[in-house]
Amino acid sequence: MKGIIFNLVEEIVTRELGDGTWDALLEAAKVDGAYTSLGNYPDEELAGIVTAAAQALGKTPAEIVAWTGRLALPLLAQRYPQFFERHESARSFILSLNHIIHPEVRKVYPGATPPDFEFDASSPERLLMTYRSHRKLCAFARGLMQGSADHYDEDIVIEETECMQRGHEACRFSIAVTKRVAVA
Amino acid sequence: MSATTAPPEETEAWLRKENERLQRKALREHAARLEAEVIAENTLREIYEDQRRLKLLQQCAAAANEATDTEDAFITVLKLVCEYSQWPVGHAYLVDEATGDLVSTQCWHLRSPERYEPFRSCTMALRFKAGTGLPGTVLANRRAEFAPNITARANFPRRAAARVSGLNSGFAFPVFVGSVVVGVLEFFAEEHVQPDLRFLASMTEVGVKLGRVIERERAQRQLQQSHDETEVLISSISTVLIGLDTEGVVTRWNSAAEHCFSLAARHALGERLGDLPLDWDWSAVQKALTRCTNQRVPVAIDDLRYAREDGKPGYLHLMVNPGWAGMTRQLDAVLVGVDITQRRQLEQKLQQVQRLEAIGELAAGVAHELNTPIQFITDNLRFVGDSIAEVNKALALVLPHAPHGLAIDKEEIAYLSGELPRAIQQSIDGAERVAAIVRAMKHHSHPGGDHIPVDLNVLAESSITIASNEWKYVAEMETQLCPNLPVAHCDGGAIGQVIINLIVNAAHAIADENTRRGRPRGRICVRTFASSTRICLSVNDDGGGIPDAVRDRIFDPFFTTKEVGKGTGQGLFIAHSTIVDKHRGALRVATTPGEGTTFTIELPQT
Repeated sequence: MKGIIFNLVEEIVTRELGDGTWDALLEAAKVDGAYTSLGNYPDEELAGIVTAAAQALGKTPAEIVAWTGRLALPLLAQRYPQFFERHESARSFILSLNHIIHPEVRKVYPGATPPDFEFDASSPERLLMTYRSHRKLCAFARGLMQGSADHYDEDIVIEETECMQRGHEACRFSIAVTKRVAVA
Repeated sequence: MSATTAPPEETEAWLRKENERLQRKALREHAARLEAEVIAENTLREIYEDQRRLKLLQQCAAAANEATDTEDAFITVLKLVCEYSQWPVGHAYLVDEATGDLVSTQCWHLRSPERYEPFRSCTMALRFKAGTGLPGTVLANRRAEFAPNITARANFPRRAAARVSGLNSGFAFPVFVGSVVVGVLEFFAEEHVQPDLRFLASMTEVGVKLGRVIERERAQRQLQQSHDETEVLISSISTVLIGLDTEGVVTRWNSAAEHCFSLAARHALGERLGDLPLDWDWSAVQKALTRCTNQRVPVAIDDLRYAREDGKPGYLHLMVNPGWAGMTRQLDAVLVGVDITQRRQLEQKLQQVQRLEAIGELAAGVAHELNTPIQFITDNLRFVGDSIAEVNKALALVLPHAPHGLAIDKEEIAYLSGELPRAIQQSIDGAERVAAIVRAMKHHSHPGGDHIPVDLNVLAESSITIASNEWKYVAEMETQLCPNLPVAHCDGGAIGQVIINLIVNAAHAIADENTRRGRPRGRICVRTFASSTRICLSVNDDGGGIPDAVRDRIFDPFFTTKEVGKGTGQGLFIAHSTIVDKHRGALRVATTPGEGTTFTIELPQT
């Protein structure tokens, strides 16, 4: 797992729960916690931190992962605005993952293995997305999608019809995005 | 740590301050780390991009080197650039050399052919002048152009089609030969993409590499063209040109050689010259070749005999030239042959004419010299004849009264009195015939060349007289001479010679037919007649006629059906050239095998 993900989690935990919480999680997970965005670190370390956070906050690991995903997106938008500027909707942003964003990730982070998504964009209402990764971090993807809907001021409904966590071969999402209606 | 040590009473305040200081320090360190990461990320991105661009350039250069033609190179480069840029549409144009406009090639890269069909068909229907649209702008400015928003671009004729196909951004770059734009490649994306200057610079380099393919193709085309021109020149010359390699195998065989030896190049090329089925003096050629290749000097063969297409003998002037240093093994010797058959024939004809002229002059002199003695021989014979008549009369008076005893044989004298006048008369007839022949010879040996008024009837009679020795034993001679025949303006000597020739030929044909049929004599008829434009003389015989097989060749030089030594094959050839070439007349032949032949001389009335 790339250090950038650890950095994002650290930034969110520190901001939302305080400096001490992050240090406590690192100690609970028994990791040294020195992460730079350019480095590569064992996936288990992230899993340890997530487990520790779930225990400390009384949530499931998936909820922790989705929560960080949703809060990570604004940080990414701040850091890499060029990937966001060219879109007006979460739908087209999500569709650009495979051929714009992940190729960029590979440029900057040699050795990175971002997931490949399969898309079926034939329906204008529902975007079908398949996620396959040995990391089984579909919750992170869901959080990021929610975060991107927030970014474009949209409502998003994400159904995960199949999930690797539930023993399926891949995770399949059905995604519906609608512009948020301003409430008077 | 000693510097930050403080007294115990101030511990709490000191700890607070110390904590604040450490927090500030941590924030500074964190900020420094983030900055370092950004710098590193940017550097890595640049290196990555550079490597990808370099790889693209290498692939494009390889494609340009390996391409068999421009189209091949275009298709590969379109694919490479589309894959590199993740752009779904790529297309190539070539400059039409006649108009200077950009014309679409068939070279496209389309990630989804159906989706982009509206844009493709719209593009194929257009030509772009310099300055028009995206490719026209590249052509006019001679540099790459980036169009981030083509559907809003004023100078983009394909706006509507681009909108239908969902294309929003485009870029295009020129293909250069030297400093001249010879083509343009353009690419389109669905996203709104911002210009990437380094990418555009790379594409400009790709354009130069593609130009090399076109340059190479042009050079090849020019080479081929000049090769073709040389081939046309070589095949259009009438000189035989044969190339041989070091093994004596034919490497060149031009159309003059094909024609001369009746052998197609495809049968000659690749074969050894000595193995070819050529009817020529091979040993002379072989000897010349050996000398030429051994001594590396040109060797000439002056009169190389060969069999012409029609089987007749022909003559070549053949030069055997050595290949020289720098020439390929493919041309070790070059044989250059000029057909001199016609020249040889003309020379022979000239000799014949000269001989005839000499004889003619001699005949004129002889005729002149003979004329006077024949004249007085004839006169004297008449005088002798008259005198004998007188003597006979006197003898008739005195002889009955002659005294007996005189030694006179009366019977003998009576016999002589009867025979002498007859002998004298026969001598006079003979002398007159000699005089006629001498007159005819004088007539025929008139210095030739000038076209003078000639009476063909007179010419016919004198010709019959001169040739009488040829016909009088085999044929009766009949003449049908037109009494009011117009005067012909011609070379009387030459025409007379032609008439004699025709009579002699007729006599020969009749003699053969007489033998074949066992008949005693045939018949020759010489006729003169005139039309409004022509004065004609025909010689008709009842010989065997001319067989179909040889009818087309009777006017050819050296053609004869007569046995060796009898005919030269020149008669009808010279007759034809005299009548047709020198008098703008015609020499016609009508023949029926087994019935006879009529030759008709037609001379124009002037």
